Parts: sequence; C-alpha cells; structure tokens
Amino acid sequence: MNTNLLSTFRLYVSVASVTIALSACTNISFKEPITSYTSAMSASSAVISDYYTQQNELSRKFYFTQLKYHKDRRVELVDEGGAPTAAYLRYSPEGIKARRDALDLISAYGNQLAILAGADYPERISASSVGIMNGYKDLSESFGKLKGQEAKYKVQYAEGSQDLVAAVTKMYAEHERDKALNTAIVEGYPAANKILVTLQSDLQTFSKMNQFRQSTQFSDLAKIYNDDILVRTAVPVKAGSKGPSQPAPTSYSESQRIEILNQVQSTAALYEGAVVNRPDDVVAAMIKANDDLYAYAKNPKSENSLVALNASLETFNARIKPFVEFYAKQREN
Amino acid sequence: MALYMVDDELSVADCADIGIWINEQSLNFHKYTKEQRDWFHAKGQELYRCLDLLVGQRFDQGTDLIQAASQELATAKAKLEAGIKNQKDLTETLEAVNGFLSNLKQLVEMVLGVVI
Repeated sequence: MNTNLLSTFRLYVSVASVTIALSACTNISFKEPITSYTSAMSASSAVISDYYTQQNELSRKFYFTQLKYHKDRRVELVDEGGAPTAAYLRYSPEGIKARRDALDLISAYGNQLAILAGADYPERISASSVGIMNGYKDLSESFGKLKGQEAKYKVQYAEGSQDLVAAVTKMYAEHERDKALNTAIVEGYPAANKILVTLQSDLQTFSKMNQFRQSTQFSDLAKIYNDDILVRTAVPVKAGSKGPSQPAPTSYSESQRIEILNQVQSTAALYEGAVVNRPDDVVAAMIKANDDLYAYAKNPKSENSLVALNASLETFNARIKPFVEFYAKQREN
Repeated sequence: MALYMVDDELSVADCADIGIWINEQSLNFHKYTKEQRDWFHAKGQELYRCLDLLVGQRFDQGTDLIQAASQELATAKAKLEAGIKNQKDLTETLEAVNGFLSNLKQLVEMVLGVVI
C-alpha cells in the first residue's frame, strides 16, 4: 500500500468513525425523549378518543335523567317542534370515528418514532410496522365522506392525515435511521400539529357544552329538590277545623328525596370536574410537547431544548392523569 | 366554534357561559324571589336545548341565513352583557335574557327548521 493509498484509507476510516460516533450520539439523545413522548401521546390519544365516544352517552344521560324526574315527558326521537332529541344520537358515529382515527394516527406516528429511535439497525424495522401506517392511507378519504357538522374540519383533518402518512412512509423509504428520525419529526410536526389544533378547537366546544350540561342538570335537580321542600313544609289549612293539621303530602318519599339529593351532589361534583378537567387542555399539552419535540429535533445538542422537552412531557403526563380519573368516574355515574 | 362570523363573533362558549350564569341565578335565594328563580331556571333549560341542537346539528350550513340573523343576535348579546354587568335594574336583565333567548331560538329555527 503506497503512502497516498494509506492516507486515503486512514481518512476513510476516520470519517467513518466520526460518522458512526455522531450517529450513535444522535440516536442516544433522541431515544429517551421520544420514548417518553410516545407513551404520553398514546395515553392522551386513548383518553381523548374515549372522550369523543362518550359525548353521545353524556347527552343521552342528561336526556334520560330529565325524563326520570319530569314525569310528564315522553321518550321521543323527534319532539313536537320537529327538533331531534338526544334520546339516540346527538353526534354522528362517522364524525366521532373520523376523529378517533386521527388520534390513532398520531399515536401510530409516535410509535413509529419510538421503533425507529430504539432500533439497532434500520433492517430491524419490520415490514409490519409499515403495514400499520398503510392502514391509515385511506383516512383522508374517510374524512372526505363526512357531511354536516362533522364535515366542518374535514379538509384540515384530511390534509394532516395525508402529510403524516407521507412523513412516516418516507422514513422507511430512506432507511437511514437518524436522518429518517429527524426527517420524520420535522416533516411530521406540521402534520400532527394541524390535526391537534383542529381537535383542540373541536374539544373547546365539547368541553364548554359539558360544563353547561352539568350546570343545567344541577339547576334542574336542585329546583326539584327545593320545590319538594316547599311542599313538605307547607302547613295545610283546613277551613273550619280546630284540630291539629295533618302533615302536608309530599311528592317524593324519603328514599326518593335522598336519591335526588345524592344526584344533585354527584352532578355538582361532575360539574366541578368538567370545569377543571378540560380535554382541550390535554390537547394543548400535546401541542406543546409536539412543539418542543420539533425544537429538540432541530437542535438535539442544545441542553435548553432537551430541558424544555422533558419539562413539557412532565406537564403533559401530569395533565393526563386527573383527566383519565375524572372521565372514568363520569362513566360510572 | 363560532355560531357566526361578523364584527362581533358569538361562540358556543359565549352562549354556554351566559347559560351557566342564568342557571346560577336560578339558585340564588339571596337576590331573587321564587318566581324569578323559576323564570331563570326555565330560561336556562331552554337555552341549553337551543345550544345543544345547534352544536349537534348542521349549524355551520346555511351561512347566509346565519349571517342575516347574526346582527340581531349580536345586539341581543350586547344588551344581555350590559344587563349582567349592571344588575341594578332587574327588569333590564330579564328583558336582555329574553331577547337573547328569543334570538337564539330564531337562529335554531332558521338553521334547523325547528321551532322551540
């Protein structure tokens, strides 16, 4: 080997070593925050998805609670004025499914990032992982089919879904882990963000309506209870009678009265919970985590971006927990 | 989610906040008589029904109709807010609530074609 060839060989070895070292460093620094991001995103996607599913149930629960205490009201799908009641469906299952699919997509995106970050070799990324993403290729089409209120954000959802699938597909096509990881984050960020911002707007409405629903139920049940007190405490006056008056008739038995009171109490707790545990806050935390992951991916060597990412992931996890507990309790009541 | 988009945007959240305030009045024994509390209770229930329908249905359709109704509703909302802020004159507040609700009902009728 002549001197020129030897120095060229040394140069190649040196460049290769530096590349491998940098690549390993990048992967190590990406791995932890991505794993944390993925688990937080999956947990919150599942919770918000469940929240959407609960909306019809909550409307229905309100409707039947009113029927329970207002004996003159009938069960009807459409009332005399032609307005649909909440007895069956207030929100279309197609609209709810489309939103759930969008959340699943964000979760799948996170999972693919984690797989990529954790893989020792690009070859180990299984073809089945790619298959998961293929399942979402038709998502934009399903959004396109939505009509009416559910169609309000269909363009945003469809665009976000399409871009997200493209970003993740691309990282497999390139088969370069660190580069792919960075690309997936940088290109996936606006797509995930578009879906999250749309969901946030959607959920602000749902959240406020839930507060108003609980407030309305609280007001109604409290009135029923208070009116019953008036009946109980009214002293009947018998014309011409000098003897002791009989106890006033009550509209509810003692056990019924206690039941109403318990219902008032649990509605007050649910009302408070609806004010405190807002789903749009969870999505806001998802958006913040997404922002910080993006900032970190763009500048992984910056300590500040890692600190910011870890802090937002901690906040994120802290917000999910009470939300999950509250909505699990709401299901029981 | 806006009910309409004109100079003064009225959102579902705005309407819900007004509804929550009305519901609170229905349980205020310190300020109101039984008759007045019952009145607030009835209005709160009605407002919930209107808003629930609007949110659940295709209220984002028929933008022209919504815009036509929006000016009146914006005025009603402004009056109601003024009434809420200055509660010295209860009659004014009651009128404002009535005006707001009546405009919201009109909106429901125009958008959904149902009478409440």
